[in-house]
Amino acid sequence: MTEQHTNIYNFGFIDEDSKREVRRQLLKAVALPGHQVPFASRDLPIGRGWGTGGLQITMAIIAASDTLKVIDQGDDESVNAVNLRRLLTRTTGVSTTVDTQAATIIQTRHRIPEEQMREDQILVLQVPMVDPLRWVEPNLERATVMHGEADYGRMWVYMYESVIKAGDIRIATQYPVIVAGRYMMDTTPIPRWDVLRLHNADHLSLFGAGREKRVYAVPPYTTVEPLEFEDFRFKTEYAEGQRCHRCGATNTFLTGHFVKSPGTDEPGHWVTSCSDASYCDKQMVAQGWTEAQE
Amino acid sequence: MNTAFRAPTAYEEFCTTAYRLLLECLSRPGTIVQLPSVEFLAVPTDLIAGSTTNPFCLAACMSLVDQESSMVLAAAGGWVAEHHPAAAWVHLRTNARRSAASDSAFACLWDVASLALLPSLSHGSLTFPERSATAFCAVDVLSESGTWELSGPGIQTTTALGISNVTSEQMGYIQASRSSFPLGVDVFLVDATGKCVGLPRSTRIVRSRTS
Repeated sequence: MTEQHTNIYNFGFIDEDSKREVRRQLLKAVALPGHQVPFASRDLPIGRGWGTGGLQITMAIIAASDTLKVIDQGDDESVNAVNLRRLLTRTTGVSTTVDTQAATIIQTRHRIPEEQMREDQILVLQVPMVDPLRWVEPNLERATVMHGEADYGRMWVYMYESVIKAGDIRIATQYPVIVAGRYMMDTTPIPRWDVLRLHNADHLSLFGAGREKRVYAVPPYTTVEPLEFEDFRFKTEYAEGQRCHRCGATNTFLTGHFVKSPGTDEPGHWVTSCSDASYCDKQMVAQGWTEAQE
Repeated sequence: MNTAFRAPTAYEEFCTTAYRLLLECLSRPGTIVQLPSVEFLAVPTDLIAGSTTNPFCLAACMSLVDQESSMVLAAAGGWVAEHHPAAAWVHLRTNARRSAASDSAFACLWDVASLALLPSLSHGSLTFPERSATAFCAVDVLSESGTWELSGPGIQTTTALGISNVTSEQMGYIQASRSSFPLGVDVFLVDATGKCVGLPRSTRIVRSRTS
């Protein structure tokens, strides 16, 4: 990079007016837990749908003193996380970390870190689809009116029908919840495993959807109740006897990998490991593991 | 890693620092935060004749506005006219639109007597509750113990709030501004030393039973 190009961007990439736009709408989102607040989503050098909502929130709130962690599917090293982290550090100079405990802002797609977050940390979630009513009311204007009237009957019917037809609630991720007893909210693509970890959390969660131009929030110590029936309770993905094949953790959200040794006739097999890679590494280090061993 | 940004100006840095504190105290109602120094703004103490200006309160409100939003000022229980020198002073520095109180996104209240004006601010609509005003009000002294008990999102159980110079009647205007959630006005109170507390419309305020 040549000398004259070292200061071409505003701190945090987007300009100050754009930051203020996001900031104002986030204050409304915090005051109205679970309510989707429209905002003027800016063009970024990253395509809409690749985390631009979360990115704009981080850009609007980040200060030089922050320590940033960016994860995608729980992993600090996946392509989306690496690219977003690079854009943010190039334009802010903040220090980054993979350690959940060391971060002040954690931007994430698909996961809430396994380690308990503290009061002084902010979780920024990248949201693909904002409206939980989309399955029952694809028209945004009508869905907005339904939210205004807390008219959620059709969603309950949808949940009931999915139990009747499929024998189970057919929602894997984006599980609908009621926030602070008022607004129905989509929980982004976080797994059901993480849904209850939003309930009465110590930290503030901010949600941003760049493509759909909406932000929303769950303040700390706010009730987040998944939709469920008395005789058909909300369930996480937890399976009896589940275990991470690396660190041996039995109480984490796992992802599957197909493993096959190259150059052999071995047919290969599936293994499961913690989706939160930095948590998994921490457990391994505690067990005396060093990176060179793997 | 190569970086490619220019250092923020004093005002930009103030806006970011102030915002994180405002976000913190709106997310955790009753938590008192200390706003940063605003000396660089050189707020004249006599912006509005007969009323003392709280520079922390005015600067916090100004940090959120620009040409995309509107701001209205009030002192001694009345709205400040659009062409008042104080309104011009704020406009020159923020470019915020000067509009009627009922259309304004932000209101800066110089004193607790002006809380009586809260009902005339926008409370939003059921479909768009976010199209409502945010009010900043200057108070004398804030403390984490006292007359008022807060509960709601952001508060584990309940928390106490003391405001040295607010009467029950004046507090009644804030309480009324959240009587029809999700409609309402979000309020920040800022004391003379720059201590700030956030009262989003989701916060219920009652007189504490012990006081």
